[in-house]
Amino acid sequence: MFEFRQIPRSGVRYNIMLEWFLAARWAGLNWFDEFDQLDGEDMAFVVAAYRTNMQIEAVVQYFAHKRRK
Amino acid sequence: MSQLMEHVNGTRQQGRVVPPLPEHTFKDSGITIKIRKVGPTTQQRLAQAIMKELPEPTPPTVETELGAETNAADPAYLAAMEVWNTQTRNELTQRLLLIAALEAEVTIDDAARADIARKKRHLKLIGIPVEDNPDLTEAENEKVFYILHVAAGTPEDLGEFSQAVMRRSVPTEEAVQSQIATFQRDLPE
Repeated sequence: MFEFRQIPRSGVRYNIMLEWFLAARWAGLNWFDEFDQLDGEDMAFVVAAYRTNMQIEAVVQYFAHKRRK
Repeated sequence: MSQLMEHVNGTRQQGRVVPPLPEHTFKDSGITIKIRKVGPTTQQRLAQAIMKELPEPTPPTVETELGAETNAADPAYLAAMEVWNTQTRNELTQRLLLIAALEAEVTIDDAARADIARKKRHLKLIGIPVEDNPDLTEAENEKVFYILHVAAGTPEDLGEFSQAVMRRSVPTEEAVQSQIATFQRDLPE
């Protein structure tokens, strides 16, 4: 709970729990009634899917921006 | 119906079958207990409670040409932060272990009670008397001591117990990476 992740090059730090919360919201899961009740492995599946989706989105955006230039 | 009653994890009867509690066997002592998860919300609340009890040090303010500014590079502040980080992490670990032990299920029989008495006596002999927690019942104190001092016979056992509960409770980075590996291919160059 006192673990923080740093975004490379920006210096921005955030609590790891923020990513879990955003992943739950992205997956349409209620934090208290649904996500919190999942088994750790199932939570990891949701977080992994969210993180991968964010990375793919970033790459797609990057190339779209490059093409527009 | 009796089968239903056996598989409700002892908390709520909702008329549906839920899986039995997972077991955890301590490698060194060989004792097996049943564990329950400690969800992220509980852990977050614990962290908040600890932060209230142990407030984060604040950096000193220094006068500069631009006015009063905080100096986050102050050596005394950095040292205080290091101490605070260690204290809060230790406190969180201790409380998580306590709640994990309280939530776990284990049968305390006469043999277990004999083990508890033996361990308490040995600890007292080497100058570490163990006080019961006044906020817990006698049965709870017995269970917590048995799990954290008898079943977890070594620091490695204690660490593995903590990890087993964490794996069930939160998305550990190891588990997230393992899931990512199953469905992500290399990003384009």
